[in-house]
Amino acid sequence: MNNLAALGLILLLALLAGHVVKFIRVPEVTGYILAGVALGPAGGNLISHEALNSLQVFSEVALGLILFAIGSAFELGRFRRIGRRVATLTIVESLLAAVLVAGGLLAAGQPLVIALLLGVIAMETAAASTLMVMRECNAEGPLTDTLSGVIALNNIFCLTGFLVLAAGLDLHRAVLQSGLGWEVLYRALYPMIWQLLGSVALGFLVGVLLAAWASTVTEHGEMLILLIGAILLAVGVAQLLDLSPLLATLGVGATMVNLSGESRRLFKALAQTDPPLYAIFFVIAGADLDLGLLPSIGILGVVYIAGRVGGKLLGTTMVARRIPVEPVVRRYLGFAMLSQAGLAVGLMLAIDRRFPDLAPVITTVVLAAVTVFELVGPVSARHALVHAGETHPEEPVTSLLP
Amino acid sequence: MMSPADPEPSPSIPIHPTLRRIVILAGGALVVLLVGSLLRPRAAAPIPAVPTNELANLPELSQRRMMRDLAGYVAERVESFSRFLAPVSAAGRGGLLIKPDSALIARPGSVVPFGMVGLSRSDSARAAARIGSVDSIATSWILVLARGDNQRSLSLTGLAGGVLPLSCGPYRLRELVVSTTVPGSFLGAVAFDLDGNALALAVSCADRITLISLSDMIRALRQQASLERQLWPRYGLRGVGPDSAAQIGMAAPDGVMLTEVILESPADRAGLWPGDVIQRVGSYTVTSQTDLASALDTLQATPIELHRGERKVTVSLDPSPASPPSTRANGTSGITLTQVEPGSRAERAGLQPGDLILQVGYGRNPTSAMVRKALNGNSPVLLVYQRDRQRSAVMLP
Repeated sequence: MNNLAALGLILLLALLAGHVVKFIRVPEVTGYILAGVALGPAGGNLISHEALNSLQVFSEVALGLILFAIGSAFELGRFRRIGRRVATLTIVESLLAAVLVAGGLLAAGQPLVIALLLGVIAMETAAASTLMVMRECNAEGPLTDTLSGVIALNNIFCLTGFLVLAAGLDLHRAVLQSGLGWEVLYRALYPMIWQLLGSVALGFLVGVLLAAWASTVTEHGEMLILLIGAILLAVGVAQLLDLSPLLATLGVGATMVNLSGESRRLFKALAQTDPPLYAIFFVIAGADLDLGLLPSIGILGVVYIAGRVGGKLLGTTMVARRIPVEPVVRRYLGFAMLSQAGLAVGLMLAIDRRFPDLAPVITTVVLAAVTVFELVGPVSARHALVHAGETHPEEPVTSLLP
Repeated sequence: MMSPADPEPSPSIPIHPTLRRIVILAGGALVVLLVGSLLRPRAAAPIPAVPTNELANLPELSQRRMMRDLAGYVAERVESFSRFLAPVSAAGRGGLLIKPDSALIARPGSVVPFGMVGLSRSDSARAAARIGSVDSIATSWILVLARGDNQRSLSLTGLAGGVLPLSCGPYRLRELVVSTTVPGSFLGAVAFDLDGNALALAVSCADRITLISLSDMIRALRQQASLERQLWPRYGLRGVGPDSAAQIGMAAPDGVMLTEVILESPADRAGLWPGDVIQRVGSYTVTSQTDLASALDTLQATPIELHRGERKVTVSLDPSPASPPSTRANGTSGITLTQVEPGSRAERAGLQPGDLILQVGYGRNPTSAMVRKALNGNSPVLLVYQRDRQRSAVMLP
């Protein structure tokens, strides 16, 4: 099947699946993902690996747009209001997930390095699927507010943790091999500093460009061209310079929301146009899932999943008891944060490149766990939002962000 | 944030302080990006992967990764093995074919990479030591490790045998019998147990890859050596391969040059003649006595392609004693040597009084003048003579 036909099939089947799953009170995102599983190599194999690869560019645009939207959680005024508790919640829930996963894996006899790397990956909560559920439910309220902030910080935190850990591991290995020297130190620490500083700098630059230009653009269509152009530029340059596209696009969103009064209009323009992109994104994500991995998940996968779920749930409840938050946040935030994809898979691929000797175990565990969490996470997030009473299903979708 | 009083007086255009801060920040960001991308460290030289077709053709990513790890692993340990390496002259001629009956035939082809399984860092020295002991177990056979062309990979180029002359220029070991590959995802390995004992070699058998135990292989090699020794009693011929030919002063042939043929033997009946260079037996290309022995052993009543001087000749060799004698080689006349002067060329070449000179160069039925000229001349020349019931070729130096 050629790419255009595949794309058409993806969109139509996504629509169909999205409608079908609504009857069983499952979020559309899950429907898209299931449609992907059915279409992809693991299912009917209507879309081959090659076609998936050539469609990846859509995924990158969509993920860039999603992270851009999430970046707007860093609006200074709002962040001043809820920033402290969001930061506390994020740090505790992700650290607890990391500690439980790493500890469990150590107890299961894994080497320290693998336990730590998987622990760091376990921190991540998928921004895309969680955000899509919030948007689909038209969610609004304290839980939704906190959730979008926590997810944005969580991804940054996870990436930083990984970069620090990878730098330490690089350093340790290089020192064992050739002793400590400036060259060794430089090689080990450079990627960490560059990815953090450079990505933020890139995001800020593109954000400034976008904000400056947005004030002169009035038409809806032009606005979209500007936005997608800026996001593509940020993602592309980040890839070119070995920066983190995730951090860069988050940075664009954060800069934009703070510098330009146009951001609301921008997000509105986006929300009216982007659903096909997101449908493609999640169907492709689903097609990449391999349900065949599930039986082979093994004791490590079980430890990982249990540790991560435990860490997220315990962490959020623990913190929420000590700091003043609404009861709905305390009760439901953890359940809304179970999705895992995007960055986790990205970090797994980075490990494959940088530490190929560690990759086999990590790849197996992460791919299996992502499959589970991508199917369970959105459903759980939807239930959390519904039970928190923050959904407004009747209203039409007007904004990407609540 | 927005103070109405701009602290710095601007000459013409008043710049909003927030805007100025943004511009400064953006400038800083630009500097960070530029400096950062200039400071990027060059990628460290990757460990050279062993260049093999197997590596390129591995279908699964996991297999390629494993292969890469293996190549890196071996490259790391080159130094610890280097003192055990023997110089090998013909490293390109490894490759191994195992016939269904598990006799071995050396095949001109590629050297496949060498690797180890289940060997921890501290065990490498012991493993090398045990390779030495394999040598003593095998008596006449030695396990050879050789560096690859890129100088960083190791190749197990073969088990070479003591039936060969032990010196050939600087090289002690010349015939390469086997190269290694490993089953499935472990292409290219010797299997050691964790004590460092070499247990098995993985070999490519036509299209498949098999792990054969070292003791089986040694047995097969010995059997093959005995095959080689059978060339004389069974077929009545002896020859030299390209490497040994130089030793006895002959130009290296593109095959096996016959040096001796027994009269009335199958070789004689087939019309084989000393000085003939055998290049193909049936479908096998022959580059060594081993090839020749294995091929003859496999095939019966075989067409043999050979070069006789400039001519290309095909003969048919039937090892059964009942085969009719060939008439082509009969009716050859020669010159009998009556005396060999001490210290002469003839004596140095091993000629004795009573030898019947049948051929000078590639001309048969020589006249006494031709023989005298060859014996007294200075230029190297091939002589074929008959003594007792045997024809031999000799190179006058």
